[in-house]
Amino acid sequence: MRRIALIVCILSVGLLLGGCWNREELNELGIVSAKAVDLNDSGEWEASFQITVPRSTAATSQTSGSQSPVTVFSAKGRTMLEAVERAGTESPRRLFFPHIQVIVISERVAREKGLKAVLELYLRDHERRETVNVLIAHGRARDVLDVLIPFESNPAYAIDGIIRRTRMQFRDVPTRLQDLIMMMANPYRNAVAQEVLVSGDRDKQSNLDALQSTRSAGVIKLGRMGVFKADKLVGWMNERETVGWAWATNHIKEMMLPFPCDGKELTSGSASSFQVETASTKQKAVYEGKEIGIQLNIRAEGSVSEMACQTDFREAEGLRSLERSIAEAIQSDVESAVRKARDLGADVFGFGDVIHRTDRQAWSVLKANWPSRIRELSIHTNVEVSIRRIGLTNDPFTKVLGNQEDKDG
Amino acid sequence: MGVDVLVSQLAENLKAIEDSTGKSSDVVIRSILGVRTSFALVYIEGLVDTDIFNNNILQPLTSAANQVNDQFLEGFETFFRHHVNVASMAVTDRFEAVLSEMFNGNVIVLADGWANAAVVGAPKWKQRNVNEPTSQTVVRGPKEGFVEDIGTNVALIRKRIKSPNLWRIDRTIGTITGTKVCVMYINGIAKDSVVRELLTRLDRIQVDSILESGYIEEFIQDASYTPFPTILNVERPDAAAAALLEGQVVVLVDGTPFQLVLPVSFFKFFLSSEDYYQRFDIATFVRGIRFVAFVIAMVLPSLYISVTTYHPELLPTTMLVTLAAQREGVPLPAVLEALLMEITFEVLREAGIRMPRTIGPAISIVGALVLGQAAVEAGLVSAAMVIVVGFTAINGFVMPAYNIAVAARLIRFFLMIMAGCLGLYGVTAALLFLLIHMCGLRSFGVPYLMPISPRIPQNLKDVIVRAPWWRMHTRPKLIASPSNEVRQRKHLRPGARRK
Repeated sequence: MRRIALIVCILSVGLLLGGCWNREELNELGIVSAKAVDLNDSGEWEASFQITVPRSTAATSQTSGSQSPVTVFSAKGRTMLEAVERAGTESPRRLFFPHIQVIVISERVAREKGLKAVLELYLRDHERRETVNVLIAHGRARDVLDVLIPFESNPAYAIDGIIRRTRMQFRDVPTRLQDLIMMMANPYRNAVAQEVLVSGDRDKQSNLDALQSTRSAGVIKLGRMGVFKADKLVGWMNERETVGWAWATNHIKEMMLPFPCDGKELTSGSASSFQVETASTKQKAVYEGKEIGIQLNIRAEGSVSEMACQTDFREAEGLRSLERSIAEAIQSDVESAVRKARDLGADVFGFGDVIHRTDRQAWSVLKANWPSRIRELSIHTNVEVSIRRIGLTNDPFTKVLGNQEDKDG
Repeated sequence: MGVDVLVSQLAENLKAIEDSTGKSSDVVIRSILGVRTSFALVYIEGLVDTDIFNNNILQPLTSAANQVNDQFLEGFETFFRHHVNVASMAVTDRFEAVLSEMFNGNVIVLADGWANAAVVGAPKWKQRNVNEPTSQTVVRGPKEGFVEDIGTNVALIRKRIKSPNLWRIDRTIGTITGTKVCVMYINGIAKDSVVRELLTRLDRIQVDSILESGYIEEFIQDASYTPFPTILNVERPDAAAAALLEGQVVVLVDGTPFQLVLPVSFFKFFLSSEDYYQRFDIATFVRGIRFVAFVIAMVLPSLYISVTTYHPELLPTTMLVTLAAQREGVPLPAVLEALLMEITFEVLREAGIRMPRTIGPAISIVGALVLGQAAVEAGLVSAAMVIVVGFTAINGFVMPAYNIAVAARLIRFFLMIMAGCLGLYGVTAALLFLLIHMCGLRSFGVPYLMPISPRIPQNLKDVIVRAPWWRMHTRPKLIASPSNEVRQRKHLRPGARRK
């Protein structure tokens, strides 16, 4: 009995001595929802943190509406963590990073310093997650954190929502930190990252009053796609090129694809829409004579959901010609992406890996100064489109109107 | 006490009785003067059926006392056997036996010149009717519950099992209370070794009083230093009968409607007799709910504490923000908050039992409104904590066996302290510790976690899943005697082709 009492004593003392050392109550945490990295003119890091104000964010809270749902702290430092620490001293609560949704890095940082400092921090620290979104800001990164967005009280969640939706319904843009690291760690591939921009009036939208008007003075958008060499930003791909990139790398989920009627120019009056429902791309390395090249086999299925052409769907030939027009539209997008990649001398498609996988010997010669060799690489695109549905009507409405005009005449 | 055996002088015997009962006024001595000798009837008021006493004992004896007949000449015993019209009659010369029989509600017949006493059975006392059980209720199933009288309880079981193999062994335990304890089992189905072990343990008890089966339980259980009960108690005769048919032994104790069932495994505490009356699919579902509820009742507050104070990164972001918003301005750390709320609830619950019926509703108003809502509105506790504590408490009421729910309550506090000190690591460690502890428990030789550990596939048909009746061919292994495991024929599924 006495022995048992002794054991219990020792155990409970051990428990008490060891106990509670890293306990932290929720109301002692400053939950960081977004982070921005800027570079100021004297070459110091400027880290900004968007911290959730739980009281005004939670659904049932009575005080919400009178207080901004987030607050932003900024601090400068010679290293990233020095800046983090200084920002931490401004905040009455410990900055808590695991729930960070977005890291916004300014274009200037990406171009001049590269992302290595940011990535290093994230790979080393156990409190940070690799699933966080990394975006490149057009302009000052901090500005993105200031914008309030309707629906989501917390702007960072809104940005995350925008990204999710893009990923589900348009193209699987690589925004996660882990995607970026995977791409950057591959010496023969160039990384890409999504751009984020504030369009409109940032200052007005950073005020809580902004949420009380029906029209937002400023909105947050995902824009172009940045192309990296190693960890430094070297150029941008515009929207068309980004779509082409997504087609070439099997990142298309669903999308609305505008296409012109056989061979005409794509103008807003005469374009039809093809709703891509499933899409897949296979990258293959093929030989043309002695030269190894890349072949892209793209398959897309979907439905025609807007018609401006006078095609007769009752005939198989009509459908086929539409499919050809769509395929041409896809092909021209891919070509524009390839053109941009060649301009930059950057392999953003991972073609190097394809060749490596197919023919190791050829690769050992090619890899010498790989990314720039993409300029000479022959790239072929085969697009196969099948239209599954044409919607509820056969004839385009323009045709119906056309008949009427005939009657009048 | 001076006397061991009765003497032949009636006056002396009566005096001895009066002395040892302290002339208590409820000890009634009725003398009859006869021609040849005089008699005395001694009984305790209130314990004896007055109708039987008047019509079958007093009246025939008085009329017979005046006539000297053949039977009288043959001896007192024959005389009494002829003139006392009561089924049960015994003769003893031991003074102690006389006293104890008297307190059992028998009438003692003494005669002058006879150094013996006739013990005539006419017990009857006020007893509760057989009512619906209060703590183990069912929707479908018999509404009879055990009562305080052991005779009635045995009859309730006998009524359900009409077999000569239902055997009964009696013991009287408690030097002062002399409580009747009766062991019932089905010969051939129950394990002999268990019955023998049980009797040894019962015989070892040297105690002055047994007022409830809980006394017996604590004397005979395998492990005392554990929150887990190793003996089940039942308030329902049908549950007791089902236990007997599975090879378990039932210990009935006089004076309580709660009878002991042993040996049991941990999972037995989650089974309600209704499981066997409802369809098997719904029974299985409900059982699943009970197991989940048990786990929730044990770990929910500690999980909440550890996740919010040590591992907020585990929570989904929106949930974290919502919880954080509720904790704004709450002065206490989450552990203390949880402990405080849990203790408040335990107080409310205890008060609820003690509270007079008439002001019962008041306690729920005070408890729910004043302590819950007002505390949240005042910002003393977070609303989430009230939800956690409330939900935990409700889960604690799901278990059919009260004593396993109590175990969950105790463990909950232990886990909460562990969570407060060490977070999820502490909770995991504590749960592992409990698991190891449970693996070591036995109930009359049956491993506590049987049939999960040791794994007995044959028994799994009635643990988490309740198989349909036609699938349960065998009685549980390790509990029932191995020689009589088959319960029914196989292939009894309705519509199945005979084989």
